[in-house]
Amino acid sequence: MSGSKLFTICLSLGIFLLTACDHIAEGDELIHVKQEPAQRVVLLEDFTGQRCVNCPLGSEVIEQLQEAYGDNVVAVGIHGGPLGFKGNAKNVGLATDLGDEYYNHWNLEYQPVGLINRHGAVNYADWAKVVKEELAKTAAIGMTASATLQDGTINIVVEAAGKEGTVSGKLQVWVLEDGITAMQMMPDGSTNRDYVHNHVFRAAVNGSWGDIFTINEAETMKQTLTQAVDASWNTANLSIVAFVYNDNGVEQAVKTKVISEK
Amino acid sequence: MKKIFTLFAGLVAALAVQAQSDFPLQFADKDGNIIADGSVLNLTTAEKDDFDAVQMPSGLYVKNTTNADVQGGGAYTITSLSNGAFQTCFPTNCVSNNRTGSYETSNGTIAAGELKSMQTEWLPVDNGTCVVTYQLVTYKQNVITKQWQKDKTGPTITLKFTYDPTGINSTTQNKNVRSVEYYNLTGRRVQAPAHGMYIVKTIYVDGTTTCRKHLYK
Repeated sequence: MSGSKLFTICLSLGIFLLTACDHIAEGDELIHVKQEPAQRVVLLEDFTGQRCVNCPLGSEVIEQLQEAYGDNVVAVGIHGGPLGFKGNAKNVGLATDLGDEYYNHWNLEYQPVGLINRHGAVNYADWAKVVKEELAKTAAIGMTASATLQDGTINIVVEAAGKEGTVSGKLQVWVLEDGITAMQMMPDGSTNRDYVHNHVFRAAVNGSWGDIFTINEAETMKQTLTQAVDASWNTANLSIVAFVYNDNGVEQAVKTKVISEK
Repeated sequence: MKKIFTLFAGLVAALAVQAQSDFPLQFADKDGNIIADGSVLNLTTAEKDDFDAVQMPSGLYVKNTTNADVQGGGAYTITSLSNGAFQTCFPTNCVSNNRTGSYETSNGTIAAGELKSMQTEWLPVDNGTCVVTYQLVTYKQNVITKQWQKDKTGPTITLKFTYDPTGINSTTQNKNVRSVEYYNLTGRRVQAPAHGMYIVKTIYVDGTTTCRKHLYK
Protein backbone atom coordinates (compact mmCIF):
# COMPACT_ATOMS: atom_id res chain seq x y z
CA MET A 1 0.00 0.00 0.00
CA SER A 2 1.42 3.28 -1.01
CA GLY A 3 2.01 6.05 1.57
CA SER A 4 -0.60 8.37 0.02
CA LYS A 5 -3.35 5.68 0.06
CA LEU A 6 -2.60 4.90 3.71
CA PHE A 7 -2.80 8.64 4.55
CA THR A 8 -6.16 8.97 2.76
CA ILE A 9 -7.63 5.99 4.63
CA CYS A 10 -6.39 7.33 7.99
CA LEU A 11 -7.81 10.80 7.28
CA SER A 12 -11.21 9.38 6.28
CA LEU A 13 -11.31 7.19 9.40
CA GLY A 14 -10.40 10.19 11.57
CA ILE A 15 -13.15 12.34 10.07
CA PHE A 16 -15.69 9.52 10.52
CA LEU A 17 -14.73 9.05 14.17
CA LEU A 18 -14.89 12.78 14.87
CA THR A 19 -18.29 13.25 13.26
CA ALA A 20 -19.92 9.97 14.23
CA CYS A 21 -21.36 11.33 17.48
CA ASP A 22 -22.49 14.70 16.08
CA HIS A 23 -26.15 13.82 15.90
CA ILE A 24 -28.12 15.51 18.67
CA ALA A 25 -31.80 14.90 18.94
CA GLU A 26 -34.02 17.75 17.86
CA GLY A 27 -34.92 19.87 20.83
CA ASP A 28 -31.71 18.97 22.67
CA GLU A 29 -29.56 21.32 20.62
CA LEU A 30 -28.02 24.28 22.45
CA ILE A 31 -28.81 27.20 20.22
CA HIS A 32 -27.33 30.58 21.14
CA VAL A 33 -30.14 33.08 20.80
CA LYS A 34 -28.93 36.65 20.69
CA GLN A 35 -30.69 38.94 23.15
CA GLU A 36 -32.74 41.72 21.64
CA PRO A 37 -30.92 45.00 22.27
CA ALA A 38 -32.61 47.26 24.79
CA GLN A 39 -34.10 50.64 23.96
CA ARG A 40 -31.56 53.32 24.85
CA VAL A 41 -32.72 55.81 27.44
CA VAL A 42 -30.65 58.99 27.46
CA LEU A 43 -29.55 60.64 30.70
CA LEU A 44 -29.22 64.43 30.51
CA GLU A 45 -27.58 66.00 33.57
CA ASP A 46 -28.37 69.72 33.45
CA PHE A 47 -25.93 71.69 35.61
CA THR A 48 -27.98 74.69 36.53
CA GLY A 49 -28.31 77.43 39.12
CA GLN A 50 -30.92 79.80 40.47
CA ARG A 51 -28.52 82.74 39.96
CA CYS A 52 -27.85 81.78 36.33
CA VAL A 53 -29.88 84.03 34.04
CA ASN A 54 -29.55 81.78 31.02
CA CYS A 55 -30.41 78.53 32.82
CA PRO A 56 -34.18 78.78 32.17
CA LEU A 57 -33.27 78.56 28.47
CA GLY A 58 -31.74 75.13 29.15
CA SER A 59 -34.90 74.06 30.97
CA GLU A 60 -36.94 75.06 27.91
CA VAL A 61 -34.83 72.75 25.73
CA ILE A 62 -35.42 69.91 28.19
CA GLU A 63 -39.17 70.47 28.04
CA GLN A 64 -39.02 70.24 24.24
CA LEU A 65 -36.93 67.05 24.39
CA GLN A 66 -39.29 65.38 26.84
CA GLU A 67 -42.22 66.36 24.70
CA ALA A 68 -40.55 64.81 21.68
CA TYR A 69 -39.06 61.69 23.24
CA GLY A 70 -41.09 61.10 26.42
CA ASP A 71 -39.56 58.67 28.90
CA ASN A 72 -36.62 57.97 26.60
CA VAL A 73 -34.96 61.13 27.88
CA VAL A 74 -34.33 61.33 31.61
CA ALA A 75 -33.36 64.86 32.69
CA VAL A 76 -31.86 65.75 36.05
CA GLY A 77 -31.42 69.38 37.13
CA ILE A 78 -28.29 69.47 39.26
CA HIS A 79 -28.14 72.79 41.07
CA GLY A 80 -24.65 73.81 42.10
CA GLY A 81 -21.48 75.41 40.83
CA PRO A 82 -20.76 79.13 41.11
CA LEU A 83 -24.31 80.15 40.17
CA GLY A 84 -26.08 77.72 42.46
CA PHE A 85 -27.95 78.99 45.50
CA LYS A 86 -28.12 77.04 48.74
CA GLY A 87 -30.79 79.18 50.34
CA ASN A 88 -31.03 81.66 53.19
CA ALA A 89 -33.53 82.68 55.84
CA LYS A 90 -35.85 84.16 53.22
CA ASN A 91 -35.47 82.05 50.10
CA VAL A 92 -35.40 78.38 49.18
CA GLY A 93 -32.12 77.20 47.70
CA LEU A 94 -31.81 74.12 45.53
CA ALA A 95 -28.04 73.76 45.29
CA THR A 96 -26.39 70.98 47.25
CA ASP A 97 -22.83 70.18 48.27
CA LEU A 98 -23.07 67.09 46.08
CA GLY A 99 -24.16 69.26 43.16
CA ASP A 100 -20.97 71.28 43.68
CA GLU A 101 -18.95 68.07 43.86
CA TYR A 102 -20.35 66.85 40.55
CA TYR A 103 -19.83 70.26 38.90
CA ASN A 104 -16.20 70.34 39.99
CA HIS A 105 -15.57 66.68 39.21
CA TRP A 106 -16.53 67.14 35.56
CA ASN A 107 -14.44 70.35 35.30
CA LEU A 108 -17.40 72.33 34.05
CA GLU A 109 -16.78 75.98 33.28
CA TYR A 110 -20.13 77.56 32.50
CA GLN A 111 -23.86 77.20 33.07
CA PRO A 112 -26.18 75.95 31.85
CA VAL A 113 -24.20 73.00 30.64
CA GLY A 114 -25.23 69.39 30.16
CA LEU A 115 -23.69 65.98 30.32
CA ILE A 116 -25.51 63.72 27.90
CA ASN A 117 -24.82 60.11 28.81
CA ARG A 118 -21.61 61.49 30.35
CA HIS A 119 -19.79 62.03 27.06
CA GLY A 120 -18.44 65.46 28.00
CA ALA A 121 -19.85 68.96 28.43
CA VAL A 122 -22.50 70.03 25.90
CA ASN A 123 -23.86 73.55 25.54
CA TYR A 124 -27.66 73.65 25.75
CA ALA A 125 -27.91 74.87 22.17
CA ASP A 126 -26.57 71.46 21.09
CA TRP A 127 -28.57 69.24 23.45
CA ALA A 128 -31.23 68.30 20.90
CA LYS A 129 -28.66 67.17 18.35
CA VAL A 130 -26.63 65.08 20.82
CA VAL A 131 -29.70 63.51 22.43
CA LYS A 132 -30.92 62.43 19.00
CA GLU A 133 -27.55 60.80 18.29
CA GLU A 134 -27.57 58.96 21.62
CA LEU A 135 -31.13 57.72 21.11
CA ALA A 136 -30.07 56.06 17.87
CA LYS A 137 -27.69 53.77 19.74
CA THR A 138 -28.71 50.45 21.25
CA ALA A 139 -28.15 49.57 24.89
CA ALA A 140 -26.29 46.53 26.19
CA ILE A 141 -28.56 46.29 29.22
CA GLY A 142 -32.21 46.82 29.97
CA MET A 143 -33.36 48.39 33.24
CA THR A 144 -36.58 48.75 35.18
CA ALA A 145 -37.23 50.36 38.54
CA SER A 146 -40.02 50.79 41.04
CA ALA A 147 -40.27 52.91 44.17
CA THR A 148 -42.82 52.99 46.96
CA LEU A 149 -43.09 55.31 49.93
CA GLN A 150 -43.96 53.86 53.32
CA ASP A 151 -43.54 55.47 56.74
CA GLY A 152 -41.15 58.12 55.52
CA THR A 153 -38.92 55.70 53.66
CA ILE A 154 -38.68 55.15 49.92
CA ASN A 155 -38.23 51.47 49.06
CA ILE A 156 -36.53 51.16 45.70
CA VAL A 157 -36.14 48.10 43.48
CA VAL A 158 -33.86 48.26 40.45
CA GLU A 159 -33.70 45.36 38.01
CA ALA A 160 -31.31 44.95 35.09
CA ALA A 161 -31.01 42.43 32.28
CA GLY A 162 -27.83 41.81 30.29
CA LYS A 163 -28.47 42.04 26.55
CA GLU A 164 -25.04 42.00 25.00
CA GLY A 165 -21.61 41.04 26.34
CA THR A 166 -20.56 41.92 29.86
CA VAL A 167 -21.23 45.39 31.24
CA SER A 168 -19.20 46.57 34.20
CA GLY A 169 -19.40 49.92 35.91
CA LYS A 170 -21.43 51.48 38.67
CA LEU A 171 -25.10 51.63 39.44
CA GLN A 172 -26.17 55.07 40.65
CA VAL A 173 -29.56 55.84 42.14
CA TRP A 174 -30.81 59.41 42.72
CA VAL A 175 -33.92 61.08 44.12
CA LEU A 176 -35.52 63.88 42.05
CA GLU A 177 -38.32 66.26 42.81
CA ASP A 178 -40.65 68.09 40.42
CA GLY A 179 -42.76 71.18 40.92
CA ILE A 180 -40.60 73.13 43.37
CA THR A 181 -41.50 76.82 43.42
CA ALA A 182 -38.36 78.82 44.13
CA MET A 183 -36.62 81.98 43.00
CA GLN A 184 -34.83 82.01 39.65
CA MET A 185 -32.91 84.66 37.74
CA MET A 186 -34.35 85.03 34.26
CA PRO A 187 -32.70 85.75 30.88
CA ASP A 188 -33.85 89.39 30.95
CA GLY A 189 -32.05 89.90 34.26
CA SER A 190 -35.22 89.93 36.35
CA THR A 191 -35.96 87.62 39.27
CA ASN A 192 -38.90 85.24 39.09
CA ARG A 193 -39.95 84.38 42.65
CA ASP A 194 -42.56 81.87 41.46
CA TYR A 195 -40.44 79.89 39.04
CA VAL A 196 -41.33 76.20 38.99
CA HIS A 197 -38.27 73.95 39.00
CA ASN A 198 -38.68 70.40 37.72
CA HIS A 199 -36.55 67.23 37.90
CA VAL A 200 -34.41 68.76 40.64
CA PHE A 201 -31.65 66.54 42.00
CA ARG A 202 -32.31 66.00 45.72
CA ALA A 203 -30.05 63.20 46.94
CA ALA A 204 -27.89 60.25 45.98
CA VAL A 205 -29.36 57.04 47.42
CA ASN A 206 -26.25 54.89 47.20
CA GLY A 207 -23.34 57.28 47.71
CA SER A 208 -22.02 60.06 45.53
CA TRP A 209 -20.77 57.73 42.82
CA GLY A 210 -22.94 54.59 43.22
CA ASP A 211 -22.24 50.89 43.76
CA ILE A 212 -20.06 48.56 41.71
CA PHE A 213 -22.11 46.77 39.06
CA THR A 214 -21.41 43.90 36.65
CA ILE A 215 -23.82 41.94 34.50
CA ASN A 216 -23.27 39.32 31.81
CA GLU A 217 -25.34 38.73 28.72
CA ALA A 218 -28.61 36.91 29.45
CA GLU A 219 -28.18 37.46 33.19
CA THR A 220 -30.58 39.41 35.36
CA MET A 221 -29.95 41.22 38.63
CA LYS A 222 -32.13 42.84 41.25
CA GLN A 223 -31.07 45.40 43.85
CA THR A 224 -33.15 46.88 46.63
CA LEU A 225 -32.31 50.18 48.30
CA THR A 226 -33.95 52.53 50.77
CA GLN A 227 -33.92 56.29 51.18
CA ALA A 228 -35.26 58.32 54.09
CA VAL A 229 -37.45 61.24 53.02
CA ASP A 230 -36.16 64.70 53.90
CA ALA A 231 -38.64 67.00 55.59
CA SER A 232 -38.23 69.61 52.83
CA TRP A 233 -39.31 67.26 50.04
CA ASN A 234 -42.84 67.10 48.68
CA THR A 235 -43.43 63.33 48.60
CA ALA A 236 -46.17 63.68 45.98
CA ASN A 237 -43.60 64.89 43.44
CA LEU A 238 -40.67 62.53 43.98
CA SER A 239 -39.07 60.27 41.38
CA ILE A 240 -36.18 57.86 41.33
CA VAL A 241 -33.57 57.76 38.60
CA ALA A 242 -31.26 54.75 38.28
CA PHE A 243 -28.46 54.45 35.77
CA VAL A 244 -25.39 52.37 35.02
CA TYR A 245 -22.25 54.19 33.94
CA ASN A 246 -18.61 53.43 33.29
CA ASP A 247 -15.70 54.97 31.41
CA ASN A 248 -17.70 54.70 28.18
CA GLY A 249 -20.45 56.89 29.57
CA VAL A 250 -23.95 55.98 30.70
CA GLU A 251 -24.96 52.49 29.52
CA GLN A 252 -28.62 52.72 30.44
CA ALA A 253 -30.99 54.74 32.61
CA VAL A 254 -34.51 54.49 33.96
CA LYS A 255 -36.85 56.78 35.86
CA THR A 256 -39.84 55.88 37.99
CA LYS A 257 -42.26 57.85 40.11
CA VAL A 258 -42.36 57.27 43.86
CA ILE A 259 -45.75 55.83 44.73
CA SER A 260 -47.21 56.29 48.21
CA GLU A 261 -48.45 53.08 49.83
CA LYS A 262 -51.58 53.55 51.87
CA MET B 1 11.31 109.55 4.89
CA LYS B 2 10.19 110.28 8.42
CA LYS B 3 7.10 112.01 7.04
CA ILE B 4 6.29 109.02 4.83
CA PHE B 5 6.60 106.72 7.82
CA THR B 6 4.36 108.98 9.91
CA LEU B 7 1.80 109.16 7.12
CA PHE B 8 1.88 105.39 6.67
CA ALA B 9 1.54 104.78 10.41
CA GLY B 10 -1.37 107.22 10.52
CA LEU B 11 -3.06 105.46 7.61
CA VAL B 12 -2.71 102.07 9.27
CA ALA B 13 -4.08 103.47 12.53
CA ALA B 14 -6.99 105.12 10.73
CA LEU B 15 -7.82 101.87 8.95
CA ALA B 16 -7.72 100.03 12.27
CA VAL B 17 -10.14 102.52 13.84
CA GLN B 18 -12.37 102.26 10.79
CA ALA B 19 -12.24 98.46 11.00
CA GLN B 20 -13.40 98.47 14.62
CA SER B 21 -16.26 100.86 13.93
CA ASP B 22 -17.29 98.61 11.00
CA PHE B 23 -17.27 95.54 13.21
CA PRO B 24 -20.79 94.05 13.26
CA LEU B 25 -20.93 93.88 17.06
CA GLN B 26 -20.45 96.93 19.24
CA PHE B 27 -20.58 97.61 22.95
CA ALA B 28 -23.55 99.76 23.81
CA ASP B 29 -25.56 101.15 26.71
CA LYS B 30 -29.13 100.09 27.47
CA ASP B 31 -30.50 102.59 24.94
CA GLY B 32 -28.32 101.26 22.17
CA ASN B 33 -25.82 104.13 22.16
CA ILE B 34 -22.49 102.79 20.97
CA ILE B 35 -19.64 102.88 23.47
CA ALA B 36 -16.41 103.54 21.60
CA ASP B 37 -13.66 101.02 21.20
CA GLY B 38 -11.07 101.40 23.95
CA SER B 39 -13.42 103.02 26.45
CA VAL B 40 -12.82 102.60 30.16
CA LEU B 41 -15.88 102.42 32.40
CA ASN B 42 -15.36 103.26 36.06
CA LEU B 43 -18.06 101.43 37.98
CA THR B 44 -18.61 102.26 41.62
CA THR B 45 -22.22 101.44 42.42
CA ALA B 46 -23.10 98.23 44.16
CA GLU B 47 -26.51 96.76 44.90
CA LYS B 48 -27.87 93.79 46.76
CA ASP B 49 -29.62 91.29 44.52
CA ASP B 50 -32.64 89.19 45.46
CA PHE B 51 -30.36 86.44 46.73
CA ASP B 52 -28.81 88.89 49.24
CA ALA B 53 -25.54 88.90 47.34
CA VAL B 54 -23.75 92.15 46.49
CA GLN B 55 -23.29 92.78 42.80
CA MET B 56 -21.83 95.59 40.72
CA PRO B 57 -23.52 95.56 37.31
CA SER B 58 -21.65 96.81 34.28
CA GLY B 59 -24.82 97.87 32.48
CA LEU B 60 -23.19 96.74 29.25
CA TYR B 61 -25.05 95.64 26.17
CA VAL B 62 -23.92 94.38 22.78
CA LYS B 63 -25.54 95.69 19.63
CA ASN B 64 -25.60 93.91 16.31
CA THR B 65 -25.35 96.90 13.98
CA THR B 66 -26.01 94.89 10.82
CA ASN B 67 -29.09 93.53 9.07
CA ALA B 68 -27.90 89.95 9.41
CA ASP B 69 -27.56 87.53 12.31
CA VAL B 70 -24.03 87.38 13.68
CA GLN B 71 -22.39 84.51 15.50
CA GLY B 72 -20.52 86.22 18.29
CA GLY B 73 -18.92 85.88 21.66
CA GLY B 74 -16.34 87.49 23.87
CA ALA B 75 -12.82 87.12 25.14
CA TYR B 76 -11.85 88.78 28.39
CA THR B 77 -8.90 89.15 30.67
CA ILE B 78 -9.30 89.72 34.40
CA THR B 79 -6.19 91.66 35.33
CA SER B 80 -7.17 92.45 38.90
CA LEU B 81 -9.62 90.77 41.26
CA SER B 82 -9.42 91.64 44.95
CA ASN B 83 -12.09 89.14 45.98
CA GLY B 84 -15.39 87.58 44.90
CA ALA B 85 -16.09 86.59 41.31
CA PHE B 86 -16.48 88.24 37.93
CA GLN B 87 -19.55 86.95 36.13
CA THR B 88 -20.65 87.27 32.53
CA CYS B 89 -23.73 85.75 30.93
CA PHE B 90 -23.01 86.48 27.28
CA PRO B 91 -24.17 85.39 24.75
CA THR B 92 -25.67 82.03 25.75
CA ASN B 93 -24.14 80.81 29.02
CA CYS B 94 -23.06 82.21 32.35
CA VAL B 95 -19.45 82.01 33.42
CA SER B 96 -18.17 82.90 36.87
CA ASN B 97 -14.44 83.39 37.45
CA ASN B 98 -12.83 83.88 40.83
CA ARG B 99 -9.23 84.35 39.70
CA THR B 100 -7.32 86.51 37.27
CA GLY B 101 -6.57 85.19 33.80
CA SER B 102 -7.80 85.15 30.23
CA TYR B 103 -11.11 83.53 29.34
CA GLU B 104 -13.43 83.07 26.41
CA THR B 105 -17.20 82.87 26.35
CA SER B 106 -19.08 80.35 24.26
CA ASN B 107 -20.48 81.61 20.98
CA GLY B 108 -24.10 82.30 20.12
CA THR B 109 -26.34 84.07 17.68
CA ILE B 110 -26.96 87.79 18.05
CA ALA B 111 -29.91 88.56 15.82
CA ALA B 112 -29.87 91.31 13.21
CA GLY B 113 -30.23 94.66 14.96
CA GLU B 114 -30.50 93.02 18.40
CA LEU B 115 -29.47 94.89 21.53
CA LYS B 116 -28.43 92.15 23.94
CA SER B 117 -27.70 92.64 27.62
CA MET B 118 -24.35 91.15 28.59
CA GLN B 119 -25.48 90.48 32.17
CA THR B 120 -21.92 91.15 33.23
CA GLU B 121 -21.00 92.08 36.77
CA TRP B 122 -18.59 91.78 39.64
CA LEU B 123 -19.82 89.99 42.76
CA PRO B 124 -17.56 91.38 45.50
CA VAL B 125 -17.48 90.04 49.04
CA ASP B 126 -15.26 92.78 50.46
CA ASN B 127 -13.93 96.16 49.46
CA GLY B 128 -11.49 96.20 46.59
CA THR B 129 -11.28 96.35 42.83
CA CYS B 130 -11.88 94.22 39.78
CA VAL B 131 -10.47 95.18 36.39
CA VAL B 132 -11.52 93.35 33.25
CA THR B 133 -10.73 94.00 29.60
CA TYR B 134 -13.45 92.59 27.36
CA GLN B 135 -13.26 92.15 23.60
CA LEU B 136 -16.01 91.17 21.18
CA VAL B 137 -15.36 88.34 18.77
CA THR B 138 -17.18 86.96 15.73
CA TYR B 139 -17.24 83.30 14.76
CA LYS B 140 -17.51 81.46 11.47
CA GLN B 141 -18.52 77.89 10.80
CA ASN B 142 -16.05 75.43 9.33
CA VAL B 143 -17.76 74.06 6.23
CA ILE B 144 -16.33 70.56 6.75
CA THR B 145 -16.43 70.01 10.50
CA LYS B 146 -19.42 72.33 11.07
CA GLN B 147 -17.60 73.55 14.18
CA TRP B 148 -17.66 77.24 15.03
CA GLN B 149 -14.26 78.88 15.16
CA LYS B 150 -13.10 82.38 15.99
CA ASP B 151 -13.14 84.68 12.99
CA LYS B 152 -12.40 88.32 13.82
CA THR B 153 -11.80 90.34 16.94
CA GLY B 154 -13.62 93.61 17.48
CA PRO B 155 -13.85 96.47 19.93
CA THR B 156 -12.43 96.33 23.42
CA ILE B 157 -13.72 97.87 26.62
CA THR B 158 -12.22 98.01 30.09
CA LEU B 159 -14.39 97.64 33.17
CA LYS B 160 -12.94 99.05 36.38
CA PHE B 161 -15.06 98.11 39.37
CA THR B 162 -14.33 99.65 42.76
CA TYR B 163 -16.32 98.39 45.72
CA ASP B 164 -16.79 100.27 48.94
CA PRO B 165 -19.20 98.39 51.25
CA THR B 166 -20.27 101.64 52.91
CA GLY B 167 -21.73 102.91 49.65
CA ILE B 168 -24.05 100.05 48.85
CA ASN B 169 -27.36 100.92 47.30
CA SER B 170 -30.68 99.19 47.64
CA THR B 171 -31.85 96.76 45.02
CA THR B 172 -34.01 99.33 43.33
CA GLN B 173 -31.13 101.62 42.50
CA ASN B 174 -29.13 100.65 39.50
CA LYS B 175 -26.10 102.56 38.28
CA ASN B 176 -26.34 101.32 34.74
CA VAL B 177 -24.73 103.41 32.05
CA ARG B 178 -27.25 105.40 30.00
CA SER B 179 -24.81 106.80 27.47
CA VAL B 180 -21.21 107.80 26.92
CA GLU B 181 -20.19 111.06 25.22
CA TYR B 182 -16.79 112.00 23.86
CA TYR B 183 -15.29 115.49 23.61
CA ASN B 184 -11.98 116.51 22.13
CA LEU B 185 -9.69 118.88 24.00
CA THR B 186 -11.27 121.91 22.31
CA GLY B 187 -14.56 120.94 23.93
CA ARG B 188 -16.25 119.83 20.73
CA ARG B 189 -18.32 116.67 20.97
CA VAL B 190 -17.31 113.85 18.60
CA GLN B 191 -19.23 110.74 17.61
CA ALA B 192 -16.38 108.37 18.44
CA PRO B 193 -12.81 109.04 19.46
CA ALA B 194 -9.95 108.34 17.10
CA HIS B 195 -6.40 108.77 18.39
CA GLY B 196 -5.40 111.21 21.05
CA MET B 197 -6.72 112.62 24.29
CA TYR B 198 -10.46 112.92 24.82
CA ILE B 199 -12.83 113.77 27.64
CA VAL B 200 -15.17 110.85 28.25
CA LYS B 201 -18.47 111.75 29.89
CA THR B 202 -20.43 108.79 31.24
CA ILE B 203 -24.09 109.44 31.98
CA TYR B 204 -25.80 106.94 34.26
CA VAL B 205 -29.41 105.88 34.39
CA ASP B 206 -29.83 107.58 37.74
CA GLY B 207 -28.81 110.91 36.16
CA THR B 208 -25.34 111.12 37.66
CA THR B 209 -22.33 111.69 35.43
CA THR B 210 -18.59 111.11 35.59
CA CYS B 211 -15.93 112.79 33.44
CA ARG B 212 -12.39 111.69 32.87
CA LYS B 213 -9.58 112.12 30.40
CA HIS B 214 -8.65 109.14 28.28
CA LEU B 215 -5.82 108.68 25.80
CA TYR B 216 -6.86 106.60 22.80
CA LYS B 217 -3.88 104.94 21.14
